[in-house]
Amino acid sequence: MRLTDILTVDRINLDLDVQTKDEVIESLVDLVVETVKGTNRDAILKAVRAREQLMSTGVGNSVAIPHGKTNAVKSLVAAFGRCSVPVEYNALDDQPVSLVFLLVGPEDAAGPHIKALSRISRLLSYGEFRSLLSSVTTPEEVLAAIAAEEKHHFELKT
Amino acid sequence: MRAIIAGSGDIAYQFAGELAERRDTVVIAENPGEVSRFDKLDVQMIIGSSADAEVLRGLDICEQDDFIACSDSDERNIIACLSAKQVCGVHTICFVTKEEYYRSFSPDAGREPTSFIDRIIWPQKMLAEEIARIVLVPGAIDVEILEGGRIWLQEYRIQPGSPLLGKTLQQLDLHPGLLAVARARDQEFSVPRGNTMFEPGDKVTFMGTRRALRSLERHFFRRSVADKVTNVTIIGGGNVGGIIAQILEEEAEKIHIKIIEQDLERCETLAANLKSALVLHGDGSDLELLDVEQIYLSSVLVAVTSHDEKDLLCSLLGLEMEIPKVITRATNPANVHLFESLGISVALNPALTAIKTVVAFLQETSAKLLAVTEQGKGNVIEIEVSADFTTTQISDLPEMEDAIVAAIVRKGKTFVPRGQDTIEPNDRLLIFATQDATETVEQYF
Repeated sequence: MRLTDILTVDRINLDLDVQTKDEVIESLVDLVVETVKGTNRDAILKAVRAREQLMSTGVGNSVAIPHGKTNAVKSLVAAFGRCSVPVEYNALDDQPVSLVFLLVGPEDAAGPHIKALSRISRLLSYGEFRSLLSSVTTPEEVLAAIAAEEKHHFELKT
Repeated sequence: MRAIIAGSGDIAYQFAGELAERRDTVVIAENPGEVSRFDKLDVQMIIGSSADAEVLRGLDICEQDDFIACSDSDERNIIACLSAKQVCGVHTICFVTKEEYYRSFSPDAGREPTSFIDRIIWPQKMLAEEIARIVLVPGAIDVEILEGGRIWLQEYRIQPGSPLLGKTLQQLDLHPGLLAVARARDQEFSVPRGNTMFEPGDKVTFMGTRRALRSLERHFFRRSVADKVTNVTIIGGGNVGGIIAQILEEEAEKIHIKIIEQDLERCETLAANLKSALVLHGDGSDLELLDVEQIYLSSVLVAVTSHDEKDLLCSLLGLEMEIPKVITRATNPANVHLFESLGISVALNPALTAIKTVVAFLQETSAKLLAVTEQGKGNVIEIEVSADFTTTQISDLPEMEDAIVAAIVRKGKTFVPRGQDTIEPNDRLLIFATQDATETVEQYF
């Protein structure tokens, strides 16, 4: 599993015009609904909000990784949004959030789900990578940056 | 100079195996059913109670002997040491598994050494301390702090693609403040030379100043590990897990610690005794829990439940989550190698660590043992150079097979020597040597 396999250019929005945490989540879920056939918006929203209620996925450093498991999707999908103005997200470090990855997977795929989740959080723990994501201007650049970082950090592993 | 082992369980058996080759070894077995496996070892077996003064007198134990009480029962070990000490002033080493005994009989507690126990060994604590040290240095798989922090020992595993590959040690031109002192490859363990080349999977030990080692970290080990240790997850909140959390709380306030423990009562005790660590009640292999508690953010995962299978499962999940460092306890020593071959960064067996430390300690003569690495394959010893030693350049020393002078302490100054430096009378030397070379090295100085 590589992040570049589950994230596509049409699920990236670099100018999210949103004011609240819920709007962030809704607009990223919309990206999934628009690009994945036969899915169910309400089911995805419900799963993501349920997870968010347990504990905020705002992991600090202006990053949030909302995620949920629902059989409304058949395989793992990701969407990425960058907020034009940082949004209050109830994050671990109490700082507003601007880089948001949404991850949605089917209920029976807990393994790949947590792997994708940890990979996203691992990459976003690198300050240089966060700066890069904050400065790119096209979705293609986002994918290229992720591909390069994934290669760099994970392909050395035995 | 005999070794008298009181006990016949797993630890006693491993001790006997280690010691039988080197010295006359006597095993006092209380349980006749456990005697047969000792048959293939060259040891004298006595069946009887190790706390029975008659049995001990019958053995003619004397002051030069070492008495190692390592049965499965703490109480029996303590009483055996008491009896042995009363029969004669034999040197006693006592194994315990309960904290209260360790506290009560430990000479470290600031009191006079307990008169009948010369050395008390609590393997779980040794293991916890070792794990805590390894947690604190990113990337390293073993860490020892020597000379009050002026010299550090750090061991790393060489990853594929590492800039340390493809060149000889000499060509690598490492920082002058450090030396590569050991290389472990499968079962082979040796001191590298100038023409040594590393391969992926090798475990390499370096000794040097903290500054030099930091520079090494930056240049050669950075990309394979997270930059900083910020979140540590400990799965299993027993003795070992609890002590690790305590040490980490003291040594590094900024680290977020999470302990996952299945037993609710134990959770409450932990929560009461720990300051900042978050104690979670649950199953460490439950993916939902790992998700909700955001364990995937961890820089280190330590699996120390009391079951190897569970530890292995949790560790594999940790690897799946690409946590940079996964440390696992292997209660069965046979699993250490297996676990590491599966990609777990470090697998440690508490008994093995304790046994090797004691064996190395028993061997020492004029040299002082400072540290033991790779579960006993390598030793750091300290040697005082005699006053009538002729000043000699290091490169002119007779070739020391499998040993290397890693640091010199002269007039209160500590430095890492190069070939052109000299060894002078009254120097204190920190020498890294393989287990086999340790004894011969002492004869040089």
